[in-house]
Amino acid sequence: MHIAIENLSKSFGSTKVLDSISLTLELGQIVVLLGPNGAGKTTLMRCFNGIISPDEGEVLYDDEPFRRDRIDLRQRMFFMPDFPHLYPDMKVLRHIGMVLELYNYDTRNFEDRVMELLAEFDLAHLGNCKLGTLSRGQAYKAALIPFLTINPELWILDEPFASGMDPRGLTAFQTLSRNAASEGRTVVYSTQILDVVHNFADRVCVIDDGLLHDFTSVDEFYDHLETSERMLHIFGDPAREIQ
Amino acid sequence: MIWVDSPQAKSIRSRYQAMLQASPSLREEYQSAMRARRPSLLMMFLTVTTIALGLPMVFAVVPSFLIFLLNEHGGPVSVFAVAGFLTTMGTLAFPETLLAQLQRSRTVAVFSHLPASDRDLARTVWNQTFAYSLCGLYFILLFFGAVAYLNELSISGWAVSLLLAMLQWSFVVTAGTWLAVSFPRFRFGQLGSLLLIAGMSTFYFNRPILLEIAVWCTVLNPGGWPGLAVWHGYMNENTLVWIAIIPSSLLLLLSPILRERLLKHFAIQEFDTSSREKPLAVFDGRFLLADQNRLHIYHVENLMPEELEEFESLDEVRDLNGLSVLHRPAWSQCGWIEQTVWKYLKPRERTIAGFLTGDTPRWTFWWKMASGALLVILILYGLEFLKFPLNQFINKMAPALCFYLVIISSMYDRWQGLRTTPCLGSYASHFASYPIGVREISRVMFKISFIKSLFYALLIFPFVVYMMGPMGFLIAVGAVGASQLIMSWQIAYGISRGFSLPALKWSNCWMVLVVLLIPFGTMFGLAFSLAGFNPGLHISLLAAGVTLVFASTLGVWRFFEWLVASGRLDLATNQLNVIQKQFDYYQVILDKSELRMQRVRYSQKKHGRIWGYLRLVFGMKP
Repeated sequence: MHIAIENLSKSFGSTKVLDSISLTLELGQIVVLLGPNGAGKTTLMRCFNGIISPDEGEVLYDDEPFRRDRIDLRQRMFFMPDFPHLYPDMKVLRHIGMVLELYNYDTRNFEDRVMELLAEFDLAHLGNCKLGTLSRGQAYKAALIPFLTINPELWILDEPFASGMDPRGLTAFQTLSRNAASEGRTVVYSTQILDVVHNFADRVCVIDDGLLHDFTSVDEFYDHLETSERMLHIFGDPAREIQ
Repeated sequence: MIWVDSPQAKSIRSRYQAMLQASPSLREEYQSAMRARRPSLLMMFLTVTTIALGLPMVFAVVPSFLIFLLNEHGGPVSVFAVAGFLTTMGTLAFPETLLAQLQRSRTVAVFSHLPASDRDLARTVWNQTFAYSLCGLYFILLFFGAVAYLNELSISGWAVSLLLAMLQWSFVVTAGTWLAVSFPRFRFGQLGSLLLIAGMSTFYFNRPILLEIAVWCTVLNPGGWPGLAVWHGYMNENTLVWIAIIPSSLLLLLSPILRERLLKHFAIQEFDTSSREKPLAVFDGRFLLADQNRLHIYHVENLMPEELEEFESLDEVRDLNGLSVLHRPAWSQCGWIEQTVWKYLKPRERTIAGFLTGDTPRWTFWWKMASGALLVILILYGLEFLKFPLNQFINKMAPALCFYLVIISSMYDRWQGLRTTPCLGSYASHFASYPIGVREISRVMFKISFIKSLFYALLIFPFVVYMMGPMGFLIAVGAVGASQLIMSWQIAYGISRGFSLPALKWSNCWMVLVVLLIPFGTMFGLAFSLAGFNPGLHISLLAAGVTLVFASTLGVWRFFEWLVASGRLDLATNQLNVIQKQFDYYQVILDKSELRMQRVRYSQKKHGRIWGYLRLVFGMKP
């Protein structure tokens, strides 16, 4: 899926959260959104899937303008918020089945895949447990599994590395994301952990004060981090120590 | 062979005839079971003789004599007291007969050798018991007909008597089925025998004060409440007599519902043993886990076997979890409203409905609650417990309030998919992160609300009939209109509740205000129109007002759809506001009450109905 954002602006009251942001995401990339708190990363991600609508500009998927009622476009992507939307009384497997059905998939064709992912994410013994009984990390995994089963063209995740997933879950997620990117999927996620960027990103998108400051490869990002005063202002000295 | 040739038995046998012909071993087993349970010639002779001699005595001579005596000494009230007493006896006899048939009847014993489903057998048994209960209807008709005859009542009096008889009989069938379903191990026969002895002794030893004790006997005897209430109202020329239509209709409605519940839950195998104890389930760690989950155990990690760490193959994972949960449940285990909704939704709509309700709709449960509450209130009202000695207005308002109670209960929905939940530092509608269109949501909600409103109309209709009596056609029309108004309003309310109004762009606010104000304006218009004195104008205005309100509600609904679908409304609030916090607070309270209910259910399942509840009351471990 080819994704283009054109002059995207969004204000909340008198605060301009996004200011004329334009960028293009190519197929098969893992893109990380970086920026301090309140930079506008979250708002940008919300605009991606229509949770909020921009005041100006638009998001184009395969050159088609995105609208919230374009269910066909929305079924080609998934969005994982920091706290996934789950029903506490619903069992893990039923939740997975329900999300598959919302994407118009027949659950009978995905039985093996679901079982594989359950085992992969160490949830095999929890398939019949209610979501409300799981820990935060387990709940995040349970919410992630149906999306990974579907494997849509665009993945959007908010802070997956601060989701409470254990190392096994994080490793499984990174492996699956890499595989998906190699198959032409686009993965967009936000994080504030610079260590992650080095190991798990193809492109880095730096946002601050609603403005796009950098959209570049990982190597170039680290170059800019060393030389740019703006980057120093955004990330501070520790960032240079990390690199 | 009398029993085998009954219509019910024939029906079952014909259904499995082809199977019997195809399988010699099955035929042999069935025929040997039939031979083993064939009644002896002596038993058949005794049965025929008893019927020939006993029937006239039981059905004509004794009841007529009893009625004559009662009317002579205590008047109609004593007849009602005995009729109520017999109703209670019948109510106990019904579950006793039903359970005895299920456990020991020849039909069940023979047909359990066929691959007949438990449901089929239970249906046959219930039909047989129902047929026996027609004898009860005969006696009740006899009693009330005698009262009408002895008091030389007019045609309307005879009609009331007939109504009362039907009411008492439906009470027997409904309450009897409910008792059988709820307390399958209770000894109804023993209790009934004790009550019969106590009742006969009371009547015999207190013959001189029959009238006095008859009143108390009726008050203490639930089976006699409806009869006495309606009779009292009729004899005092109180038009509230028509109130009896409601409980009788409800009871008649409840009867098949309870029957369905009986068919669903009763497994004949449970009754194969001579004792009434349920067999112990085979212990299995997985079953334990599944069962505990069903009973809402919260500390699941405590139930996890420690050795379950790694798995050899996917089959092992599959065996552990089972795959049935992954696939959509068909709501076949839910109530009849859910099943009806399921039937009329398309596949995609079923998915949306499952999402919106979290696959746990409880519409039938709330409908039953509303019916039960209405029934109790009406019976109490009929018995004058709720008639305030203030003025006529309040007395008229009481049933109207009951009526609105039902309407309001129809609005209670758990649209979990529309709840707002934390998302990306703020709150967003639950459905926002899934590929669901708001038009899909509102269409499904509309369909569900419409079907639900039809079921609630079953409760409202008798009320309207009642209101048409004392208050006139106008009020009845107004009541129907008001109920329609509230029910249709809830659709728009339900949908709009899930969206973020604080994030609404100011440029669109005026449109929202205009559309929202239309229904309110219409309601005010209706109120003013009632101040007029032209009945024809009233009806026209009411009809026009209801139509307008319904149309404007649909307008609001479509308007919200358009706002959301076109991106003019954000699905996430920018910041938490006071209203949102308040809503969350109430949500926490609701969740806690649900948690309490789950604890009660779990405790009752573990320790029995009464003891399980009492344990919680006294703060013991559930």
